[in-house]
Amino acid sequence: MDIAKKNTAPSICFTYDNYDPILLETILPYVDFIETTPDSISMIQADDTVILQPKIIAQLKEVASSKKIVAHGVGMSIGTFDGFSKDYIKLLDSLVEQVDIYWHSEHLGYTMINGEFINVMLPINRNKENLQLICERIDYLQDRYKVPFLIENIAHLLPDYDSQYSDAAFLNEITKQTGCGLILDMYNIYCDAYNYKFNIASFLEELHLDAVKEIHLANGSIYKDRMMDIHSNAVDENVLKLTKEVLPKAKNVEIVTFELLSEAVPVMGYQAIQDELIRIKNSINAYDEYEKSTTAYS
Amino acid sequence: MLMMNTKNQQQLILELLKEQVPTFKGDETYVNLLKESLELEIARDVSIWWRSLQIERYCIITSNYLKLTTQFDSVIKAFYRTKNVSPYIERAGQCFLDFVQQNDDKLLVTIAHFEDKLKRVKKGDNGNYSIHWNYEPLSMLDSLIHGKPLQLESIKGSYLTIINANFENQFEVFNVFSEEESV
Repeated sequence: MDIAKKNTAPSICFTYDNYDPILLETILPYVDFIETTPDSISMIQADDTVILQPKIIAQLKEVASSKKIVAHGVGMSIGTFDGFSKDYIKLLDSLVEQVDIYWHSEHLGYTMINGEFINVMLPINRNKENLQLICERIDYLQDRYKVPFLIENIAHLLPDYDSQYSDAAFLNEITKQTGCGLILDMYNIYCDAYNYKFNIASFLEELHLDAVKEIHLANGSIYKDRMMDIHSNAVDENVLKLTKEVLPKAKNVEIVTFELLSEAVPVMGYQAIQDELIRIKNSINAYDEYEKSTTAYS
Repeated sequence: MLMMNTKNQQQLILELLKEQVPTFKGDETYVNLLKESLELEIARDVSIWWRSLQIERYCIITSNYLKLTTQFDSVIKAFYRTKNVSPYIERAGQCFLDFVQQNDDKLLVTIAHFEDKLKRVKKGDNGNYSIHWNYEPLSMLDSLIHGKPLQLESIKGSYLTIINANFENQFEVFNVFSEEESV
C-alpha cells in the first residue's frame, strides 16, 4: 500500500472484541476504523474446532460498508523460539476470507513457550538471533496476506537479556529489513518510563517515525509499584499529551486507536467510552489545526 | 559464563513462571536476577489473573465453591503450575474441571463433576449421568450461584442428581434416603 504523506489528522479507531451491539452502536459515529482481535473473537465448536464467532463476523461485515477493519493479534506469538501459533494463522486466514482487512498487526513479543500458552505477553531479546527470526516471520506474513503488516512495541515486563540493540534501533532494523510498518503504543513506552526510567525522548528521537502507521492509546493501573498495560480505562492525560507531540513528526500515522479490554467496557460504561472517543478526536483535531497553522507560515 | 540463546531463555522463563526448578545451568547471574525479580512475580500474577478470569467465567459453580471455601487462589495456582492449558476458554475451563475432579475435597469433586456433565449435556451430549451428593443439591446450588454462605450441617443427606438433556433443566434431584436412615 502506498501511503502518501498526509496533512490531515489520523482517523480514530476502537477495539471491538466481544459481541456487544450497544457498544458497537455507541462507538460507530465516532470512529472510522474498528480494531478486532481474531483470537479474542474466536470460539470452540461442539466438535472442538476453533472458529470466529459467526455473529461478530456478521457485525464486522455489516460495519465494513462504512468503516475500515484492522486485525490486531495477541496470540500469534511471533517471538516464540520454535515457531508462531498455527491456530492463530488459521483464525487470521478465516478473518481475511470473510472480512476486508485494511491491515493486520501483532505485538513484538511472545505468549507461548514449548507449545504452552503462558497468558502473559513477554518481550523478546533485542539481539541478532531474534532480529533474523522476527524478520523471517514478518516476510512470511507479508507474503501470505496481501495487506500491510505492522509490528507493535510492547512494555518490558521482564529484565532485558543480551540486548545488542536499543529498543528503537531494533524496531528500525525490523522495518528496514522487512518494509513492515509500526504501531507505536504510547502507553507502553509511558509504562516503561514509569517502571524503568525508560527515556522516551531518546527513544522517539532514534525511532524512524516515518514507519509508524498507527498509534495505540490506553491506560492501566499501578500494581506492586509497577504501571501495568491493562487497557482498563480512559487514556492518561500525559499519554495524550505525548501523542500530540509525536504526531507532527510521525507524518504517516493513519490511525489512532483507543484500546479498551472488553472486560472494562461495563466498568467504564458506554457514555464514558463515547466521551473518551470525542476527547481523543478533539485532541487529534487540535493537532490537525496546529499542523495547518504552522504549514501556513512555513 | 554460558550465554543463553532464545530457546534456553524462553524455556527458563516458562520454568520460573511455573515455579519449577530451572534446568538450564548457564548464566547464573541472569537466572538469579530473574528468579528474585519483582517483574517475574508480576508476570506470574498477570498470567494467573487471566487464568482466573477464564475459569470464573466458564465454571461458575465450581469457582464459587472454591471461593466460598477460600481455596480458589491456591487451586488456580496449582492448576497453572502443573497443566499446559489452552488459550481458549472452553478448553481451559474443561481442563480445569478435569483437574479439580482429582482433588481430595470430595464435595469439590462432586460439584465439578456435576458442572462438567451439565455442560456436556447442554452442548448436545445425549448421555444420562448420575451423581451422588452428601448434601441437598438444590440448596447447595442456590448458595453457590448466589454466593450465599454454605450451611452444610443443615443440608446433609443422600441425594442423586440425574443429568439428561430430556429434563426441563437438564437435571433432576432424587432423595435417596433420609439422614435418619443413613445414621
